[in-house]
Amino acid sequence: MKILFSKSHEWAAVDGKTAKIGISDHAQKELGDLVFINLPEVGKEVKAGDVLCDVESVKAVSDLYAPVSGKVVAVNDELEGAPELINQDAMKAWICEIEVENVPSDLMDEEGYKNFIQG
Amino acid sequence: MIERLKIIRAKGFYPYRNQAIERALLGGCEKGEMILYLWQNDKTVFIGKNQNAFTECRLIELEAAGGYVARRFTGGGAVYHDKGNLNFTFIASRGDYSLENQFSILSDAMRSLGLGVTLSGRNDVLIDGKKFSGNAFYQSEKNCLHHGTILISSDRETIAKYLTVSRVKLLAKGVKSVQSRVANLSDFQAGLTADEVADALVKAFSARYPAAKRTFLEEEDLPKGEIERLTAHFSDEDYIRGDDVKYSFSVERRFSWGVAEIRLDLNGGVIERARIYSDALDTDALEEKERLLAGTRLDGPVDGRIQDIIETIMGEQT
Repeated sequence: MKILFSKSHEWAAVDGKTAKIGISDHAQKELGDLVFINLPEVGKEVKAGDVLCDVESVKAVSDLYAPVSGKVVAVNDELEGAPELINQDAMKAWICEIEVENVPSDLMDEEGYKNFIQG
Repeated sequence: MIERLKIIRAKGFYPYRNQAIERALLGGCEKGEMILYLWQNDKTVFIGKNQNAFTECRLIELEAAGGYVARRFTGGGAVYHDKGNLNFTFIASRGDYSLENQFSILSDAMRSLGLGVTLSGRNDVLIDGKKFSGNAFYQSEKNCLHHGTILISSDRETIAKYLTVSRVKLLAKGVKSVQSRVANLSDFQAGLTADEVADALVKAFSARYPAAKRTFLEEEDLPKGEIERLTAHFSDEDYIRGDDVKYSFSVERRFSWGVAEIRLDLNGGVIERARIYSDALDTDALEEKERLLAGTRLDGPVDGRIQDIIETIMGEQT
């Protein structure tokens, strides 16, 4: 399994043909305390860069983007009643699972992403 | 770097068209631009993106009185709009957007009208310790939006009448409103009008970005088809009532035969599933009642309609 990050601050934990998707700790901090998440629908097909779903934090409503292309095959229902789990541990709180069709080449590994947010 | 300012004021008071204009402006905003959009809605309860229309306002009474419920695409709680309220929207691309500048424009405008205001937290602007402006925000990868209300001479009695927070306990989901003490600017500057506030905002906006080229847009300058499509989207009943927002309620009621806790899972205003907990009825009778409740559409505020439905199905309450 490898964890890759997008420039719009989502992560994809790619494991064979599927990937769990979440947002980075940096993104979680930027958004502030989450009060609501609209999870994507199972079965939804997305291209990398498409709006995947949205979250409401104390700061704003923000769109989240699909870091990889494919079909949503599962969502983390636990987040529905408790979006704050993302604030507590963003790397553990996966949002959905995607059956991967394509992983864009511009995704970064952890070190690359670290440099990206510092730069 | 902001090089161009675009200013537009909505002509009508129909909330869904005004929302459509806002959304179209957001989509069309280019780098280097800052848009100021001024708009007013008539008799509208404006709920947050993830709120429940049924618990946040008296839907039926409002609609019977010729009012509207509108759902915005930003978060936060429910507010009431009438012609005594002016809405403003700032739209810019991510790099050009500056909350600090935008709030300064608001306070500069107020100062030019002789009003001293203070920012409270991220969302409220106060005058004399009371809220006259509520603000909410949206961000996409490309563009950001900041909008807010300005209470000038709103009908306070109507605000209290329609913005009623339900007594029914909302389980887990849905963003709740926080009640604040509100004030009208005309309490502090008698006779102040929405037009005067709009002019003051336009002046403060222009003064904040003196080097930028300024253009006044008309509604007719916006793509007609897109405005029509977006107006249909914002006025869609399922969108307003929360087609994709599911809610659960729990109410405890006392009946002639005993006490029951009734849990309802709602989806788009329809009871998707009911569960009744009571030790006073046998399981078969409870399951029958659960089946009767499922599929019922709620047309009104939870307090009133659920009460009726529950009485019809469960017997008289005591």
